[in-house]
Amino acid sequence: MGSLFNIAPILVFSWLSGVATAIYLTVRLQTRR
Amino acid sequence: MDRGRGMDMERTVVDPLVEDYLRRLDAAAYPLGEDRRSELLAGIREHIEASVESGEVHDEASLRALLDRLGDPEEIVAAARDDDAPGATPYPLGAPPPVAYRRAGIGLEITAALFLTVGSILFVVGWLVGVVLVWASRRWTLGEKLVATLVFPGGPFAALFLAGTVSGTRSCFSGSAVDANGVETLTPETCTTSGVVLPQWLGIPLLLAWLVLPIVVAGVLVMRARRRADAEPPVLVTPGAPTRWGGLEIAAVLLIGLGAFVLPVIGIVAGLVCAWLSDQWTRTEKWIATAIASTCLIVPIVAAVALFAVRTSS
Repeated sequence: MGSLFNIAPILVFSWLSGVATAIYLTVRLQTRR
Repeated sequence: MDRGRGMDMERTVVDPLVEDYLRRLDAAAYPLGEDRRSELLAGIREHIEASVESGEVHDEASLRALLDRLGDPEEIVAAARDDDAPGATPYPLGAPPPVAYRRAGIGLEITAALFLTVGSILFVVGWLVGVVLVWASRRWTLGEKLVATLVFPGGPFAALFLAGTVSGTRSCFSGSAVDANGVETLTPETCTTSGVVLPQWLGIPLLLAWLVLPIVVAGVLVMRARRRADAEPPVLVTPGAPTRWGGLEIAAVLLIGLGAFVLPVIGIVAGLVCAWLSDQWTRTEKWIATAIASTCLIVPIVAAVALFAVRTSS
């Protein structure tokens, strides 16, 4: 079971998705007319 | 001028000119709000139709004269805005309208291009965000969206990653062995290959194409989007628009961007809740953000399950 949920990749993907989402929201707000 | 000719006018000459005028008015009246905009449009349309019915407008010249008398759509909207304001004074005719325009922006398209190229450094996720944004744009055709998606999956950084990890090595060994009787025999050359080895004539061009073509495609698509945006009507800049970055918006971005460090998943969910509560982002933007953030759950869980399945089967 320990090998099923190796926490490191989950953390990395979680962080990458978070960063990508934050960049998207920031860019949309900054480029608002 | 008889009524019949006026009606004929309505069917032939009036439509394109009037429709164009009303379209401009509709675009300019956006800041007035839905009800006021409909009311204003209906009023102006009614006035034009009445002029046609009465025969006052009987040809293109008289129609143009009428539209000139009505004034620029922007001026009408400016006057309507002033009328709506508390203690407003009538809009002074001849003065420059208190509104500004800028050409339609392509922020979404530029962001998409950046994610597809530079953003591919955020392994898989960055490129996926780019693809989502490409398909969310209305300024690219289906064919262009397909090209952006398929040339090449993962973006330029995926090429570097693949070159560094997936590409294999081929090692050969030959030598001699001495048997129990002390007789030396030459062993035939044995070669082992690990990973995927492409012939150089294919591997190097493919790597270069994977590195360069996504950047070229992104550049061409941004230029096309720019050209199409320039053909669109200019965008009204609303003076005195409220501040975009309030506490809710800052909280949303910080929780989503950094929250995953402290509270994986929960931080992002909390940030998304803030984003949905904010009225600074459109509904579409909120859905796109939710879709991007959702990959934080879907991608690693699918990967973990797939890995687990592979390990248990072998």
